Amino acid sequence: MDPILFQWDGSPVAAEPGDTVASALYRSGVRTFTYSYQYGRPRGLLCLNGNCPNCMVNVDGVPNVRSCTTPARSGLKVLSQNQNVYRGFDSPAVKRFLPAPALAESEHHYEHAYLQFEVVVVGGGQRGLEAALAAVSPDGQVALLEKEPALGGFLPNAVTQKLVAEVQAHPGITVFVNSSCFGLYEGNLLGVVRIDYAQPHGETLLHLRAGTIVVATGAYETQFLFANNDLPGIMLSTAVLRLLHQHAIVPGKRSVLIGEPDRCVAMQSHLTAAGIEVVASLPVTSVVSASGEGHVSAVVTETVTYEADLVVMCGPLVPDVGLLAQTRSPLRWSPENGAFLAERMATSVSLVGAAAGESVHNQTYLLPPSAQSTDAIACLCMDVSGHDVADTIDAGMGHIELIKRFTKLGKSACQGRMCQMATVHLCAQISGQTIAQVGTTVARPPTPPVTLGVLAGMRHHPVRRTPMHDQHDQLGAVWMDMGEWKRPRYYDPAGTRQQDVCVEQEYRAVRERAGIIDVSTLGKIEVKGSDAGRLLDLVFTHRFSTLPLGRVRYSVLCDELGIIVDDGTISRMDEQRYFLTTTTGNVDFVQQWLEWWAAAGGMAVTITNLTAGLASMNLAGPLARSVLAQLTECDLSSAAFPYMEWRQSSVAGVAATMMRIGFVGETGWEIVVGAEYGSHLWQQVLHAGASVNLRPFGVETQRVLRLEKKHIIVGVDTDALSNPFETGMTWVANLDKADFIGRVALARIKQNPSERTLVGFELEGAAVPPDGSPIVFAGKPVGYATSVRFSWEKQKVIGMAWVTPAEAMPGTQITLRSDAVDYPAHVVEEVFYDPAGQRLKL
Amino acid sequence: MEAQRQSALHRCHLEAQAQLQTFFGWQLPAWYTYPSSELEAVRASVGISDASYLFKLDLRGEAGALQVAAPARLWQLTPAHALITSPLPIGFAASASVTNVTSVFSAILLAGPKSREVLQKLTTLNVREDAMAEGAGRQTRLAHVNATILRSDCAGLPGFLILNTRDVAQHVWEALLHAGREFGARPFGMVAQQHWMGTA
Repeated sequence: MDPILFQWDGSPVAAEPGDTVASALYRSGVRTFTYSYQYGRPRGLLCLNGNCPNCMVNVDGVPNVRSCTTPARSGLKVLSQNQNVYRGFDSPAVKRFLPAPALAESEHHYEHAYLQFEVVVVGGGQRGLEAALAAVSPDGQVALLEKEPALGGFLPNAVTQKLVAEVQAHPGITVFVNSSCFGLYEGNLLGVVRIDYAQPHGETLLHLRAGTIVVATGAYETQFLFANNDLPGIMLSTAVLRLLHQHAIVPGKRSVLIGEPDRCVAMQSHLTAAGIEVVASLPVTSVVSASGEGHVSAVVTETVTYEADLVVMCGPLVPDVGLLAQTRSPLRWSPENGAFLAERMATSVSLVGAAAGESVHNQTYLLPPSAQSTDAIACLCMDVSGHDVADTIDAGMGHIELIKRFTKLGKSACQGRMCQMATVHLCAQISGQTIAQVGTTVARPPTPPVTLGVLAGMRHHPVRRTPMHDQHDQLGAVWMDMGEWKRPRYYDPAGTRQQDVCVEQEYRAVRERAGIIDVSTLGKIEVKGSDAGRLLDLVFTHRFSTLPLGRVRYSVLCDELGIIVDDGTISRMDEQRYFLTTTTGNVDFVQQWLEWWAAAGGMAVTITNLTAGLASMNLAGPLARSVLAQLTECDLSSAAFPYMEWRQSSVAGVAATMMRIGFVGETGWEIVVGAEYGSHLWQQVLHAGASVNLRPFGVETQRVLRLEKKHIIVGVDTDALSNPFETGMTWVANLDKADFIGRVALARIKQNPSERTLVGFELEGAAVPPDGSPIVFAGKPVGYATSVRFSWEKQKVIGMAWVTPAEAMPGTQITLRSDAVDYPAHVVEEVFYDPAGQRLKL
Repeated sequence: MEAQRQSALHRCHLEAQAQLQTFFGWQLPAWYTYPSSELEAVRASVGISDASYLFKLDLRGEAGALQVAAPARLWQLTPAHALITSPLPIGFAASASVTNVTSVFSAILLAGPKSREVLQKLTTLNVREDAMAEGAGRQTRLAHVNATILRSDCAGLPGFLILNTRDVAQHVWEALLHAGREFGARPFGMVAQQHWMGTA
């Protein structure tokens, strides 16, 4: 079998099968695994169970990985952390160590999975295995979660091995190993992270929906508090047992045991059997300090100093009730168990085994005098000492939640596992409260910590594409995002990367010849039924029940406050059928709005979102008719097909609806076909348009063209408070329609002078400040510019802006400001291009 | 010139170097590699196929009286909302409550023994055998977009028709292939699809 070789700070380390990175490093002689975060104190293995921060290393670029739970594999690049804290940021010695790789795009593989089980058992130790077997039934599936790589619990034995075999053979039980349950959420939803060590770091976030949950998470050992309790070489008894029995590593020659007599006696036999001398067994109250340079070399009591290279803490066992605590199940201090136990639980959640306090009998947790020294480290993660805790209580912050927030104790990687017992007892001792009165801090998921990567999962964001997407690519589209939609900003087939040049060419094509733009992203809604007209009368500012067949009307949709929510065109297709357009990205809102008001009014109407099902393109320009005429028999003359009407006919062999509308101010038609024909139609239009040098044009060009006509874009030129009056929509002034949404508010708004108004402007200079630039008048901000572009028609920079009535008079000098630069301008009333609107109606 | 109907997944087929032919008036992949090996892979594990050509009707309200004959199928999504799918167009009486949504939705057939496992990586919907019977239809979210999932088994093996609005079809196709990668998921063409459905 090939040897397992990995790197530690650039040097090779050999590992045995079954080694974790920590055990392999320890076996190779590493004793200092990291330095503490604040004071740079050397730290060594302590718990070997994923419950403390001492073994954290950087593995293949991932920081803060617990090496004690990471299987050793060939090829890993492991780096130590916090060298700079220990040695000083400027220390030349720091440069000896390899710098941690910068956080970068991860190659790691993150996935999600959503599963449902009748019963989920959390914990694959003896009690968990028994619970899983007891839960199987013909009606349901059982899941068994285990955070270690194998079932059986801590140091499996013959009994557990038999149970493991039974569980693995059972078809009704699905086993998840390397799966750590970090949270229990409403509706019995469990969050679980499963790590796949087979590939370069893969993590799966399992969302498990459970009928009932059995928590069999056991109990974990925690540390004592005395001066220099954090020296390398001072370990929990369970950690020593793992080193001895799981990894066949002997962690020292001379040892001192600290703890209750029963525990020490039981531990002693393991040590002596391994050839480790036990020089003393002490109650923690007699410990003054541990001492040593970078590693423990002695334990000091008041009378004797014991030399030892291994100190074994037989610490108290803490029932792992984290998941229950997350459900706000109250935790009760049980003096009989010497532990906090979960009390009331939901009927669908039960607690078994050591997690429920079974066989947990900690005697009174004692604190030696040195527990309040500056070297007695209560919180290993944040370097919070017993002295810090005492100071905090002295300052009046004696509540456990205040101690946590003021000192940061318990807020980091171990999430209180190593510090809670000591801190609660220290707090009780100093403040004179009982343990029950001190209580615990609130537990919140995730515990243990999870990576952001696994929460995000597969980084595959939705992208919305029109039916002509590929054609735009082939034409050299430079893409922009509009929400989830991709739209061509402009086309650059030669790859010049000169936006202004490309946009000008597209602009000239539309103004002088013909252009075509893909507008499939705009929302398209069909409203049909006997109440269709009534519904539209209710939600729009115009009347639609009387709109003649064949006509198209532009209108605005307001909310109850009279604020513009959307605009679009409405076409009467039939006696009881209308076709609506909305702004890109707003169709879902408009559909919901229509459905709500239809339901509120008990209306007989069907509302269907056809956005994705239709391809629409706008062919515009003085020569647009000559292009379209090549593709259809329909009479396109203004006499037969006036502005603001629609016709249906075959275009390029496909059934199409043509709407004669004009956002860009030229004669033009919006051609709508089934999405499956969009690509075909687009290509036919380009082909037919070759004779007049027709150009496809993008969103940026359209922005310039429509700005020259002062056509607003809802959401760009209007904001969350704009009403139609201040936006210049004079037709609303009559309000002579029957009741519609916003009518009451608009009537009131009409009576009061507008606080602001949307005006056009021209800049004196040639530089183009960005959209959104504030407007300054007499040294004060009075509004902002919504759209600013260079106009080839006026050969000036033009735009629209919100100003107060005082600046709204034509000719008023105003100033745009951007990046501390002033752009003088003046207000212009007239539409910049073709004010009479003749070009639309050729 | 005869207008070509193109699926929203056209680009995916081109990139996968599919052999395109006309089926039911649509440009669709006949195969990507060999129909027989594509079919074998589906039966062994899982594959995806473009079924956008399906004629689709949206029914609202008490149009439940509508009867359909094979090969058309009726899918009841809620008591007041149903879908009809059919390989060929079917006649229907135009009314306020019936809408032809053939163009609106793309349809992807996810088929094979591992299809559930693929779905379970992309949606919270419970697609277990006992939670979603053959013939059931559900509206849900899949890969962060709205989807209608219809369980359509063939020859005893699980299959799901996944309907999405056309604009996100390519996104869903890619998400299915990504999620299915660990099961060897591959696209399969119309020839294999018709064999799968027993209509070849």
